[in-house]
Amino acid sequence: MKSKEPKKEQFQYFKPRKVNGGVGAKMSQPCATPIRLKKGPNQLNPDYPQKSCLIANSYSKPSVAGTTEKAKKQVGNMTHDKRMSLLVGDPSYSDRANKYCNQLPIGKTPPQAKQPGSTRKGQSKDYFEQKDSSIIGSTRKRQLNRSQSKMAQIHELNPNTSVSDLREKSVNRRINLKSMTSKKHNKNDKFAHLRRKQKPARKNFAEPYGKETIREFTYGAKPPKSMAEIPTRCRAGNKSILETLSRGPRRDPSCCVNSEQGKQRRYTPVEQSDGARHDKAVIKGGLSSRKLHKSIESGYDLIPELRHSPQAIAGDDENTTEALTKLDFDSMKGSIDIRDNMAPRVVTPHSDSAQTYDPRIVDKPPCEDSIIMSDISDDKSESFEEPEIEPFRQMRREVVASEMAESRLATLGKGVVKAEPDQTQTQNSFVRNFKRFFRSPSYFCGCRDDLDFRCCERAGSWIQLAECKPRSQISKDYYQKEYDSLLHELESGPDIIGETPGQEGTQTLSDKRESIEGNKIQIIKDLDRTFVDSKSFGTGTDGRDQLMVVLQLIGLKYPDIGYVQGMNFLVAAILYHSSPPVALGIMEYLMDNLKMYYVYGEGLKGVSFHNEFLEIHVKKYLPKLVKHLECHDINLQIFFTQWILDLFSHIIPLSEYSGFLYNLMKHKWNFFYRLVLNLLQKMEPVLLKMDDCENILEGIKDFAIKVNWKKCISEANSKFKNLNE
Amino acid sequence: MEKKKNKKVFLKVVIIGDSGVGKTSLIHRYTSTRFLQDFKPTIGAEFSNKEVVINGKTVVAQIWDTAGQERYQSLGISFYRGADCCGIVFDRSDHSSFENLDTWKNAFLKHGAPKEEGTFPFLVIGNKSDLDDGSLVKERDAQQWCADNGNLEYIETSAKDNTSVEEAFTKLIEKGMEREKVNLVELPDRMSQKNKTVNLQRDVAKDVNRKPQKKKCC
Repeated sequence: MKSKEPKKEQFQYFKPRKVNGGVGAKMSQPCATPIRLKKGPNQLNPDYPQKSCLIANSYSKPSVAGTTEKAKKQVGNMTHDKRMSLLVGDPSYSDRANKYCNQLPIGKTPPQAKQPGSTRKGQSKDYFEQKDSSIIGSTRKRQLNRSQSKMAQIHELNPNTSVSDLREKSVNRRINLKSMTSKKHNKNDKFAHLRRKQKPARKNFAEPYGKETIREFTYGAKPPKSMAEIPTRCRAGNKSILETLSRGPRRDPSCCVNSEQGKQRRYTPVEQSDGARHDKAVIKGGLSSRKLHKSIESGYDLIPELRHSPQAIAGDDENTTEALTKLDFDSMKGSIDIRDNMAPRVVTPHSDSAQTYDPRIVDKPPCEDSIIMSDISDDKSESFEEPEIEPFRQMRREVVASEMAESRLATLGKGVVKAEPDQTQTQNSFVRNFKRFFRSPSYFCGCRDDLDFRCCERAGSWIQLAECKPRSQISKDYYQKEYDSLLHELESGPDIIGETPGQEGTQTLSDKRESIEGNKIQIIKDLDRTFVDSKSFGTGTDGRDQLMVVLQLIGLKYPDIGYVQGMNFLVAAILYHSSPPVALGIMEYLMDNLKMYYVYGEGLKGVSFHNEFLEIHVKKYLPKLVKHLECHDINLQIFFTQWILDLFSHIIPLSEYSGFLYNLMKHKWNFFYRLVLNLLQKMEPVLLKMDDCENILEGIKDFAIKVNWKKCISEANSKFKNLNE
Repeated sequence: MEKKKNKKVFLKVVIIGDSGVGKTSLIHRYTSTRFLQDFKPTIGAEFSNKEVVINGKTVVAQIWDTAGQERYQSLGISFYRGADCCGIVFDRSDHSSFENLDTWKNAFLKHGAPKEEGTFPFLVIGNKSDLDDGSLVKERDAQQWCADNGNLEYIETSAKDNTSVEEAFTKLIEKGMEREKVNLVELPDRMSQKNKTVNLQRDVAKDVNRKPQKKKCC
């Protein structure tokens, strides 16, 4: 009956089993016994019946000596073909092997095999003798090596297949066997290719975090002392995870005492009880969102942080969101210990000591304030940092709406929740905790979050460039404070602005009033025409409100300039990667350090200056193009003016703009000139072919939109290096 | 002479006016016969070409779309110069844009510096006449303003509904062509520039004539 089993199945389980077989040094040891039947559960496929896991492994560990009767029977019951094919893993082998050993009886080991001298070497020697080999090369050797191992297997399974029998059939001996056997063990490794295939799989597994991180998570290796030690790729999303690793023993939230001010919290450490489980979960969370989805479906206890790790979410997978919506809070309650222990750390801006914020204990989490406060500045009163998640914006909107309603209720009853709250309370607090992580993001790019500033990682580098300070020295609230003060000034109205008494003071007051109102009217006009198609700045979006505020604040900060068309695109492009305070800070940098003050200032002197500079260099580097355009009465200044005024922000895709701005801040206007020259150089062959004025104009516009900006930006720095001279 | 008549006439048409009055959408409607719902504010200036046949002459109108914000008027010097005609657009639903017509006209004359200040062809365009909610700028007021400012022509359009957009531009181009004719007569500078090559040829011919003279001398 067993012989009727489909062959395929046998190969399936056999092949991978062989992969685990001994290789390398172990193989070099001579086999003490020719037959080694190994019984054990199939590790790769545990569902497969144990019987089928019987393996006669000729070159596995020599420690497995002796055979069981059961195994022998099973082997004996099989047909010869099956045994061969099973061993070799090649169905076609049976035909070839039949030539030699089909008629041989099974059951007894041959006397030659039992002799200590009858090594594999000797067997193969006999085997090769019968082979009629015409070519002896490396490939031939490989083939022979393969057959050599097969031969050994044959001999093990069919002990009566004596070497002498095989020798009788031998034809010519053409191979120097000594040279063969010396390389045998390396060459005989026919599963090397399989092992090689395995490696990348492991690599993929470790990819989201890197090997070291995985090792740390799994084995609890030394925790990182500072954020600088953590590899940048795993900084963003796993802050809380890394912090839990770094802060040592876990803390019991039940000991948390929340003072009235909500600032002082005390904790007592509690022993770890479920470390292994936690570690597993961490790794699981770091895997793809699909796996996360599966784990949720299978009722795996998820730690809240895992759901917020960008690795798990980054893909904007629908699976994840679906899975998260499926989350059952009752099942979550079971894993409340883990959640509490993994609660994110509160990083207060003015204290070095880290605190753990537990939303379960505090009735009203701090983020609620921010949501209630205003639609525009959602990040005003928040003291803790956490990764922002782009894909959950839709969900977040619903959550925010419901939270608004909840917050009204919450204002009725403030107080400290008991250490062991009721089920409903737990659920509510968990819902709040759950929602907190999906609140309004302050930027739109969906890149990884910068831990120190409310912006994406790329925008974080802008701040470093702007401040010319090491990261640690930049205050996290640096931009926030200025933003808040300006916002207060704006909200309180123009009456407060002109505080100086006297006739002059009143004049400036009225001027300021007019300028503010004029700016506002113009901004409102332009907001309807600024990235209307994009989801971030379309009508009725948060982005539009933020843009409105930031533009107004710029007008307030620079009353001489006010709002100038072109700023809207520029600020929107910056806002795409950062929160409003950071955007304002970056705009200030551009105004002061990049001299955008003169570009937008009275008379647009900066524009004409840059125009002239560009014209000179375009003539120098691209004389053909300039001549061609002159023939068609086209002046490139029209385009230069646009590019200077909005710094390419309405042409470069918003997602790519961070790269442009980084380079611009680093290399200043030289980068801009290089980029323009690079762009025109790329256009040149296309434009030279065009003869119609209108086509050329449209060609320049189209090319500027369609060009690969990422490449163009990266190339620009390496080209036109003599620009300064 | 017949060949010269068939040659294309190039005209520079400049459209000015407050921001958001619909300059870009008017031009877009005329050049591409489409209405853009979502467009971006014009930064600096843009221009597009349109080839039209008017009175049996093919005219290539180079229509300049300028930014409406006041700050950009300083750029006007380079954009307004050499214009053959100018369209001043105002939003009929926005009275402030109508009040600003004076400043726009003066700014153009200042920066563009056309030789004939009094007779330069302007066309006043009242756009967005589709937004009829009773508070639109009345035709009488607009006509009155035009009469006060050198008998300018006035036309009401709607880029959205495509009402009399083409009329407005053809009027502008016709006016520009009239001015061109006058200029051709009045301004021989252009002709002289073109005749420079001819002069050179004549010189060569003279040289050729001189050579035999020299020979004669020898």
